[in-house]
Amino acid sequence: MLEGSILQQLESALENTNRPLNLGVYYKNTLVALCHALEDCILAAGSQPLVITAFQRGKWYLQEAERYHDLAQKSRHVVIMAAPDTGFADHPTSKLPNVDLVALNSQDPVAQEWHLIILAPSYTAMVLCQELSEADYGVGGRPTADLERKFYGFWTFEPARVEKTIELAIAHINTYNPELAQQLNSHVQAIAQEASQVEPDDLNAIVSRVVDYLQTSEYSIKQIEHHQVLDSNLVSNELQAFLRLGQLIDLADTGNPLAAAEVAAIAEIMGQLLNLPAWQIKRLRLASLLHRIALQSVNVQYGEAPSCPLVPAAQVLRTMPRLSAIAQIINHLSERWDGSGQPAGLSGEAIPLESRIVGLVADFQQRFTHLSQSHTKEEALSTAFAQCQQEQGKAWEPKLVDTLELLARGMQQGLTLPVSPTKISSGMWLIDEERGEVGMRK
Amino acid sequence: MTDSIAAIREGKIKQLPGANLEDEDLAGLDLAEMNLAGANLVGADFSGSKLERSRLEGANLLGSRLHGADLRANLLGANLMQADMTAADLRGSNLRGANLMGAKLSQSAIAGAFLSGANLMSANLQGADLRGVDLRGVNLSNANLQGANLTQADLRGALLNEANLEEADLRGANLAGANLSGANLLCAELDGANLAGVNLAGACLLGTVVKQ
Repeated sequence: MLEGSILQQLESALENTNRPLNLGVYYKNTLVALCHALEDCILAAGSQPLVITAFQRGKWYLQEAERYHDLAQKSRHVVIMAAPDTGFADHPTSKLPNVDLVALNSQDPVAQEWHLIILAPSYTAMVLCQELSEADYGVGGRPTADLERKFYGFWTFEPARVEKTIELAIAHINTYNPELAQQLNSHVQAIAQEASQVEPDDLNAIVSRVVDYLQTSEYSIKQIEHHQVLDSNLVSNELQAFLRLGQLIDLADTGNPLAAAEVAAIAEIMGQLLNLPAWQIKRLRLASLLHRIALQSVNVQYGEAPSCPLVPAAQVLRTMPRLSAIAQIINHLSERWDGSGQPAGLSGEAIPLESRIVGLVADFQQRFTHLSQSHTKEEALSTAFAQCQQEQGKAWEPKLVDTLELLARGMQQGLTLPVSPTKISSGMWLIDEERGEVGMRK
Repeated sequence: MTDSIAAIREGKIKQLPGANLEDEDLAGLDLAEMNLAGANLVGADFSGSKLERSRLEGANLLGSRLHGADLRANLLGANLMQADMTAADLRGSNLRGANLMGAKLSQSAIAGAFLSGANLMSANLQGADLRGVDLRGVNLSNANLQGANLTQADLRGALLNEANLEEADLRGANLAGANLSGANLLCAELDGANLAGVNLAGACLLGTVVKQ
C-alpha cells in the first residue's frame, strides 16, 4: 500500500481496532459502475452532501465533468483531486462556485488513488481504492483494456468510516489549500448537526440502485474477451452490497452485533445434523447472513399481491437473480408451522425448509444473546431453548426443535460455534453456481 | 451395455465394479451406494447425480462431467483429471491419492474431505469451500483459489507456488513451511494465519491483512 495515501492512512488508523479494513479487488469496470450508482444517489438524496473525489489524472475527471456539473447542483461542495492535465481547470464544471480542484503533485501518493467520498446528513457512502503498480500486475503486466485495470481497496455505506476518511482527506487538502480545508471542515460540522434532524435515506433503495448499475455493466461487457473475470467481480460486488446492508443492521444493534454470523453458524450445523446437501447448506448460510434485512420490516403491512404477499425489504434481494432463492427463504421467515404466521400464512412443509430452520435459529440466537446479558451461559442456553420449545408445533417444526435441542446440549457441554465475521469482499463461496434446476434438485 | 444403462437408470443395478461406461449419460440420477470401483467413466456425464456413499475408488473419471453432483463418496486414487466438479458436494469424501490436475472445482464444497497425496495442480478452486481441510503437503501449484474459503485449513508444507489466492480467506490457516513463491495473495485475509517458514519469494501481498 502506498505510504501516505489516504487508504493507507485509514488502514493505520483502524489497525488496532476490532474491525480492521477488509480490502477487495476491483476492476475499473466495477469501480465505474459503483461510483455512478453512488453518485446518482446524490441526485435522489434527501440532503446536500459534501463530495470529495480523487481521479488520479485530470483527464479521467474530464471524462466525468458533465456528470459532475449535475452533481454539483445537488451538493453543498465538490472537491476534485487529480494530477492536472490540459483543460483540467477550463471545463465549465471546474468553474462552478461550489466546485474546487486540487491539482495534485504527480509524486503525491493520492495521485495513484481513486476515491469517491460522500458525506450528507441523510446519506454516507464511499469508494476508496488505489491502482496496482506495473510490478504488482505480475507476469501478465498491465492489461491493455482500460476497463480491466485493477484496483484494490473497499467501499462502504458506514457513516463512521466515511467521517474518518473525510477527516483524512481534508487534512491532505490542507497541505495544498488551507483555506479550502477550513471551508470543508465547516461543512463537516454543519452536516453533523443536520444529521440528527433529518431522516436517513432509504438504504434499501440505495443498495437496489447499486446492484442495478452493476448488473447493467454485466450486460454491457458481454462482448469483451475476458468478460468472465469482470463479470465475477461485478457479481461479487452485487453480493457485497447486500452483505454491507446486513452488516450495518448488525452494527446498529449493539446488544446483538453478531446476530448474522452466529445465526449462520448455528443454521449450518443444523443443516449438517439434518444431512442436507451442500447447496442447501450454502443457502442456509447466506439467508442467515441476510436474515435481518427482512426482520427489519416484519411489522409493516403486507401488500395484497394476488398470489403471495411479499416482505418489501426481501424484495430488494430479487434485484439480483442469483439471490432469488435466498429472497424466497427470507420472505417466509416469519411464517409459523401451524399456519398462523406471515406473510402468506403457509403451514407445515409448505414453508421452505430453509425458512423454517433460519426462522427458528434466529429466534433462538436472539433469546440466547438477550438472556446472556443477565444469566450464565448454561442458564441462558437452557432458558432460550425452553422458550423455543414452548412454541414446538406452533411456531416451529417439531423435528427442527429436536435438532436444536441436540445442538443446545452440545453448546452446554462446551461445543463452540465456528463464528467469524464475514469477509465481505469475498462472499463468492456463498453463492450457488448460476444454473437451472439441475438433476436431483427440486 | 444399453441394458445395463437402463438398469442403472432404474436403480436395479448397484454393483458395477470395473464396468466400462465411457461417455455414458448418467446425469440427474440417484446412484447412491453404487459400486463403480475401478470403472472406466471417462467423459461420462453425472451432472446433478447423487453418488453419495458410492464406491469410485480407482475409477477413471478423466474429463467426466460431475457438475453439481453429490460426490460424498470414496474416490480413493481416482483419476479426476480435467473433470468438471463445479458446485459439487465433496464434503467428507475420500480423495486420498486422487489425481485432480486441472479439475474444475469452483464453488464446490470440500470441507472435511481427505486429500492426502492428492494432486490439485492447476485445479480451478475458485470460491470453493475448503474450511478446515487437511491439505498438508498437497500440490496446489498454479491452482486458482481466488475467493476460496480456506479458514482454519491445514496447509503445512503445501505447494502453492504460482497459485492464485486473490481475495482468499486464510484466517487461522496453518501455512507453516508452505511454498507460496510467485503466488498472488492480493487482498487475501491472513488474520491469525501461521506463516512460519513460508516461502513468499515473488508473491504479491498487496492489501493482505496479516495479524498473528
